[in-house]
Amino acid sequence: MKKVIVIFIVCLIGISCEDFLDEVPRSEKTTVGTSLLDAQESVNGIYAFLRAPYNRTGFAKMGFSILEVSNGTLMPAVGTQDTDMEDAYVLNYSANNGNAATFWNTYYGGIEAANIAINSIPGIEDPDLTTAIENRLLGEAHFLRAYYYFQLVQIFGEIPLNLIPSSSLDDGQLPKSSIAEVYETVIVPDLLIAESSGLPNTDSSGRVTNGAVKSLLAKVYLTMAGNPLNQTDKFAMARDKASEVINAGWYSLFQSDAELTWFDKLSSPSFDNIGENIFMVQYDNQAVTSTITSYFTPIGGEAISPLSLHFGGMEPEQAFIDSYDPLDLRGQNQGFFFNELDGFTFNNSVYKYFYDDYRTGNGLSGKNIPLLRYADVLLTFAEAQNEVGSANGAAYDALNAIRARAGLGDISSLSQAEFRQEVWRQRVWEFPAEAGLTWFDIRRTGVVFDNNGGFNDFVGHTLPNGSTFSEGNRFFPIPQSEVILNPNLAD
Amino acid sequence: MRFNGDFQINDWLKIGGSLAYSDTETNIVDDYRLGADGLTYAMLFYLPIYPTRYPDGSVVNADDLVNANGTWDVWYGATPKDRLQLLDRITKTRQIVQNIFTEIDFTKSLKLRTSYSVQNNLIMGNTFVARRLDTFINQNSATIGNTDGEQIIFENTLSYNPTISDDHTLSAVVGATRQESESFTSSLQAQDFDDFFGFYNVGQGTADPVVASGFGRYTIDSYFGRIDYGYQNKYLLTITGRYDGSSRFGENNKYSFFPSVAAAWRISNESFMEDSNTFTNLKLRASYGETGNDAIGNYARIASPGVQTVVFNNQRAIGSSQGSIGNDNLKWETTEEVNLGLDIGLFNRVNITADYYRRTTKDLLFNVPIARFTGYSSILSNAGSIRNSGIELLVNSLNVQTNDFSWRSSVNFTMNENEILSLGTEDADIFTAPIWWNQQIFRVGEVAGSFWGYNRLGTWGTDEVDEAARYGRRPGDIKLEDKNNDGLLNFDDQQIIGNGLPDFTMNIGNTFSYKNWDLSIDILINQGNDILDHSIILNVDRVGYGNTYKKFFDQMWTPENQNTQYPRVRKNILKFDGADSGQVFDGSFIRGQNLNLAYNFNKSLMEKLGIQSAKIYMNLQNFFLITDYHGYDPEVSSFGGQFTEGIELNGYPRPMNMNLGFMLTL
Repeated sequence: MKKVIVIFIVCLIGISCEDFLDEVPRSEKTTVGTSLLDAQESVNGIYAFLRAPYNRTGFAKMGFSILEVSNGTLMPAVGTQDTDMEDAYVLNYSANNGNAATFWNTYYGGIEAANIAINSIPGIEDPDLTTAIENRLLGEAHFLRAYYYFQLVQIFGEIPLNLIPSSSLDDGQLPKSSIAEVYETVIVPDLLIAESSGLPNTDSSGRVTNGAVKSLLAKVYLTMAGNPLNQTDKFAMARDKASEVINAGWYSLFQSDAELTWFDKLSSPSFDNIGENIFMVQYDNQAVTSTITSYFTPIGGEAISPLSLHFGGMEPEQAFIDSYDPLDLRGQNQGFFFNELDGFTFNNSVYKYFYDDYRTGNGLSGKNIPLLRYADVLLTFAEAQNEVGSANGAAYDALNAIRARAGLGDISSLSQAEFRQEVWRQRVWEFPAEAGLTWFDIRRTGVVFDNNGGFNDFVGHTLPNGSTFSEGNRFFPIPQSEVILNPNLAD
Repeated sequence: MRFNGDFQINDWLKIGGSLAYSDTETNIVDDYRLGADGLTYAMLFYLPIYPTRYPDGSVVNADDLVNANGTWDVWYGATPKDRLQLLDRITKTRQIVQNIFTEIDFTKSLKLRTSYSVQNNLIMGNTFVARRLDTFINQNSATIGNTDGEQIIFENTLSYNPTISDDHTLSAVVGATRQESESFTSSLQAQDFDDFFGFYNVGQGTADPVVASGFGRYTIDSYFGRIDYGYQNKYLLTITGRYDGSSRFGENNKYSFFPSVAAAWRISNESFMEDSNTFTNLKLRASYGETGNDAIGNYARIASPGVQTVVFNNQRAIGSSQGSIGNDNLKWETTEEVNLGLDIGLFNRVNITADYYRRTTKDLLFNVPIARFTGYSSILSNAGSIRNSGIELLVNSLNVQTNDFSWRSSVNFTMNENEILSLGTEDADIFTAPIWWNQQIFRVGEVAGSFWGYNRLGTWGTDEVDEAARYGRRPGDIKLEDKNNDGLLNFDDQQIIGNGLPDFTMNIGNTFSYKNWDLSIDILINQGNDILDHSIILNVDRVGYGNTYKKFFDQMWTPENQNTQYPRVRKNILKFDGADSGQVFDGSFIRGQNLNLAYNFNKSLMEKLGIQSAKIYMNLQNFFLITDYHGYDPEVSSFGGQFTEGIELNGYPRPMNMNLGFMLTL
């Protein structure tokens, strides 16, 4: 009997138990960091996290709305039912704001994706991954990580610095870092690495370019020169970077021609990634569709879109529309806004993302979202030059290029203070409903446009809806759910 | 369909096998959701005064309800009727189970059984969403999905049943099992085609198809043994041990040993009880045992990158990013159970089984949340221990027995308490959010997955305008407790507001036989379970104008009726605050589980027709429900997964089933 049992056990155990329980996934990779393709894919992945704040989710909710409706230019449309946007509109900056959490979650997601790429690519031993390719890929990763941190530090202020790939629960317990630390340990160094990584100057594919790196660096320096760091030595650095971009001639402002106005070019997917568009969130109209055009479809404008539902998204405050010079094309119908098209009238709505082909399609759009635009670089240069010493010819050229395109005459001979305010005005009028730029300008400059030509101090300024800025409105609070998990993030 | 065959080849060898085949088709109506929006939502919310067709016969579209200026008072989406008719979601499952075995008798008491079984599941899940149903974009879609699953079990057992003496009985079994499960899935989604084709011709789609496939495999390796010993059929002892290995765990934790021991004393077989007419059976039992759980993803321990779709040059490109953090330290979740039981048989009429149990689950496999700035939202870990303890009481009785009539009853009573003993390394609270907010808490000392939210005080009155304004509220809005009175409603003001566990459940079954008739009735009583009903945020606290429950409408705030829990009727609330105690309801119920009525044809008559027996029967399931709960079904859980019992968001109720049948035995 013993013999039988032995045979019985051997025939079972003999089939090497060790291998039997060794199962590994086949439809998903378990390692990154072995080939050129891995390196490319790990960098591609970082781009995916640019999208979430500009995607319409649920009913008609869009993350970046909280920045656009709390600066006096736009207000929530009745069709959105986005209570997080409505909270931001009345300057109730809650730690439970879902749109703020969208920024937090997706941008930190992009940061972790960048951490993984930056950590793994140098260890890849694939002869096809040449030093030149490796440097360019790392350059893209560093740029994107810097972009995400730049957005987060402007929205939330002091934030944790996640710089290496996370691996355990302990990694969720990082403390907050100071604002200066975020700029000085990540944003600036990352952009400097990207700047020297051999990226192409321009590229219409939608990837990060050297032009985008220098443009963002100029903006970062301008922001560091303002509140709350007030490192005024950065004005010169901002001017020099912006000047490099301008003098290189890589970009040009869109101009109206016989076929299309410059507004139509800005809003048309056909002009994405070229001309004035330096860096954009990429979409196609199939697998990864853009929802910004449908988000802004005018209420009452059923006749001008294939959608039966119109959300309105965010609509301009009348006081803001009225603040434009009557000659300013940007404030007129089918400038940045519209309330009439082909004889149909509707609520005054955002035109910046509306284009003609959209009307005949099935509602799916490939419209990219501009994050960095040449107009921004020109105005960054003009402002920085004016702060360094005085507005020179080049500074007036930059400012007047923006004015001229908007249908306004050239200006000259302004005092430093007058020039500064003129640049700020042009920024407010140029960038409504665009990547939160006006909200960031308010934090940087410490003043808010009064929709009547002038500027007021941030704290105490009252928006057209009657809400007044307080200290608590400088930043959004870190999401409550994060603070529960990591009490170090509490105020 | 089922075939069995056993062949006794000679006096020591037997071989056999079986083959079973089944084919089922289901059509699911409730699964198409836009946000919180499903069929049940539409049924509850859609104003019944709105038509589904106009007098001329044309169909009412959701967007017809949009106001002239483009706004709408409520977003209904498609009408309930459209949701039923414009969505096909059909799942076909074909299952084949094949089994072969051999039994070799080495001696009279030593037997080896080897069995090999293969189970194949082919699942085809097809969905068609007609163009008109998707009111966000003007597009239809068809998805065909296939899953090919296979499970192979190879088992060898050696059993030993010696005859020792009249006093001692002994049997022992050792065995080993190997199990392999794998599945291959593929799916294809087409968009933008003529509705005519449904999901029958996805080649008609004009947009880029969305394709996907996946593969998963999982293996288990087990060794086990059992010894049963009895002395004079009075003292009984069973000892078992299992050594289980699972491919789902890390290298050092694949195997774990799970012992158990059970002892029983059959008092009724003692000499001093032999003459008792009262106790026909009396048995005292005690046991301790451990069992393991490996119910996690096949590859959950392995860190794997996430897959991202990105666009460059207007072309799709593949990207990778963080996916899941691996955890190579994952090990078996183990439940230790202590059980004390008593079996009592009285007068050959009544059997009572009473049990006290205490189950302690250690190394709970749980997704522990991690701050999102790490790039992840949770890490699967062995994260704590939970105790379930309680009593079970089962009484079977033969109440009446005459020649023509008999009445049997069965009552099953259970009471369970649940408590978290430890969590993670520092016993810190863990919050989870099946939907929208952190509405569940895991806290040491509390019931796992207790509901978490604000305490609703009632509604703001007209004399509290200023006080309400502090919270951005107006008279008639819901008044929540600001516990620290800091003017903010936030996490600090939240508390445990209920849990989904019942105080007790009781199952009462009665079977009556009268001549050729059989009648059985099963009733389930569930007492004291809470339901967190998020549906009333839309239906009662409301966004837009829609239908509501009369029960709440009658109690709603009006200037004349200010002392109420339910807000005034208004189009839009200012914002959602998350869960609050006003959304928690008593879910106690009494349900008619099953009613079975059968008529057996006379045996003698049937035998003449060459039929062994024949009966005709009617079966009703879920035939009545008594509850104070306003929703369709107090037993519903809208969210899958562990610990989400009792959280409802427009849940789809369980149906009432009626079967009529005729059974012939030839």
